[in-house]
Amino acid sequence: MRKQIAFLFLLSFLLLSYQADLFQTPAGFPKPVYDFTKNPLDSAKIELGRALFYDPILSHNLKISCASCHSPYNAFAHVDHALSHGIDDRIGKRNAPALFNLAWHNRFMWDGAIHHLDVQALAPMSHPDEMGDTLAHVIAKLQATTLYPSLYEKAFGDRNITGEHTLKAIAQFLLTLVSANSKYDSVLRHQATFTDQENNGYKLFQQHCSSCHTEPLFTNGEFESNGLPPDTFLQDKGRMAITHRKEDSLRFKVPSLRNIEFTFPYMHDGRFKQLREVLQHYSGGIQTDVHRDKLQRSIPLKDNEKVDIIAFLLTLSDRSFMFNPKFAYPKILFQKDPQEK
Amino acid sequence: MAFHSIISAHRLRFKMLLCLLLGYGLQSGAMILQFHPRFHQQTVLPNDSTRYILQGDTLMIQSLKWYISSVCFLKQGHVVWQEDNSYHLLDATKPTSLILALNTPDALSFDQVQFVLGIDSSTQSGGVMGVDLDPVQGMYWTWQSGYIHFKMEGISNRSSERDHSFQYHVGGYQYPENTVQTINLPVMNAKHLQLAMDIDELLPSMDMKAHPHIMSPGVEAVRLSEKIKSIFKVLTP
Repeated sequence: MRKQIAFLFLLSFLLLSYQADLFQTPAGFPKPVYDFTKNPLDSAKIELGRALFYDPILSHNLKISCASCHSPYNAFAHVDHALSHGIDDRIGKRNAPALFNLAWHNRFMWDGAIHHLDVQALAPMSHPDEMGDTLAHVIAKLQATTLYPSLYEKAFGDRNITGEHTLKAIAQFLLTLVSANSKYDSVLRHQATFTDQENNGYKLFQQHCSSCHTEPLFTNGEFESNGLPPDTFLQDKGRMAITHRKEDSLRFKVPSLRNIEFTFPYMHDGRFKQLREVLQHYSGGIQTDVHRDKLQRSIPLKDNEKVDIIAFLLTLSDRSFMFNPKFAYPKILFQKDPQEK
Repeated sequence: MAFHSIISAHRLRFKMLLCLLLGYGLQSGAMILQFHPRFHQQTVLPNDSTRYILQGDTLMIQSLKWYISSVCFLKQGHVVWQEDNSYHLLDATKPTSLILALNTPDALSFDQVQFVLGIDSSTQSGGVMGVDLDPVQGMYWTWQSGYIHFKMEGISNRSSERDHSFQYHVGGYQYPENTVQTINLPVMNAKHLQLAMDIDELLPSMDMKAHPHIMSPGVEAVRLSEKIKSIFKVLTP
């Protein structure tokens, strides 16, 4: 009996240290909200998830992959595209968000329609303006390849492809996308120092912006109205479409500001191309006749203060995240028989 | 090498234990809970040809699926047995899916059966699951997370749609749009419980003029779920 307990201890220790190798909570970050015990990370599952993320087989016309709108070189956002692009040049109604630090979120999409990372991939896969397919059809396509059944067997011990395994593998890859290595992080770790301008920007940021864009994730994970005039064409009510509650009108999920240098255009509908337009909105463009939360009126900011805030925001860029080979297009996909496409 | 042999020895022991448990389960698994979707006492088998007549309306039922979860038995108001991992997808086109084999102990004495129509909120928010709960079953909304607890589709003269179709996807698990319903029926102690689900009693509550298609959580879905709760009845014993 004692032997068995010792064995179990050893096993759990090995498992824990193995997990730590695949995912680490960065210093100063809160505990992740994702429950890893229900989907323990495993390198074969992550690798499968990465292949699925980059493979256009997930879309109905085999042309669009997750990475089409979530490019690693833009912190997994869609640069230069105000609204998301789908199959057959269809245009969605919102800006494709950047993907990182997802283990700290339990509401996804601008309106929080998705309540768990595991089921997030279902939405773009099935939306007619995005990948336009069904999970059942995607699974049939994957099962018919020479590559995927063996990848699933390696990951889950089963060549039979299921929806559960597919979604869990994608979630695993997404969970590994942790970005916490910006200049800002180095400054907190006393490995770098801000310039005077960045420092001033940081102070202004903490004073005016951090109640919604809360450190260290640079989002409070909530839904807020930021006083943007509603787009009369898109007629997007945000969170209210999901909860049917009046107070949720024009509330959208607060995005993280990490890597903001690369995730333009900005806002839920990508209406601003540049950070100075965003600052212009917050310092003078707040609509007072629409539902608002914390931002009751524009924030009085001088021009030089706006420049300083932007200087600070640029310290949130994490190049080691964007160029991490672990997150890049997987070589495994090159082995795929081109006939399968 | 030594490490591997420890693992394989434990695997073997685990397998033996599993076999024992399964064997025990099969021996004691004596209860059958069977559902009978009916229209005017007749079994409903969804297809594209059978026509049903109800108050001057002619209709076809093409799809009928629902989730039953958290099955348990009560005696004098106290739970005497509950099923572990109790999630069942019932599909009227697949008669075997309507028969739930329950691993109850032999001498179980009860006077009530209780089950949930739909999937409770803690399961819903716990991440993706497999088998009957796999989103590939087509009973999971893709654009807004959540299970479809009850799905009925078909054609009706009453429908205001151009093709006379109706689609009722009843779901939603969060207050105030919660459609998860707990159903509690008094039963006699028996090894084979048969429950009816009378669709003809549900149809008049489906407002096919104003809402021929309900595909998201909301007031209408809640109203329908309350009606669905009332169409389950004990057939035998």
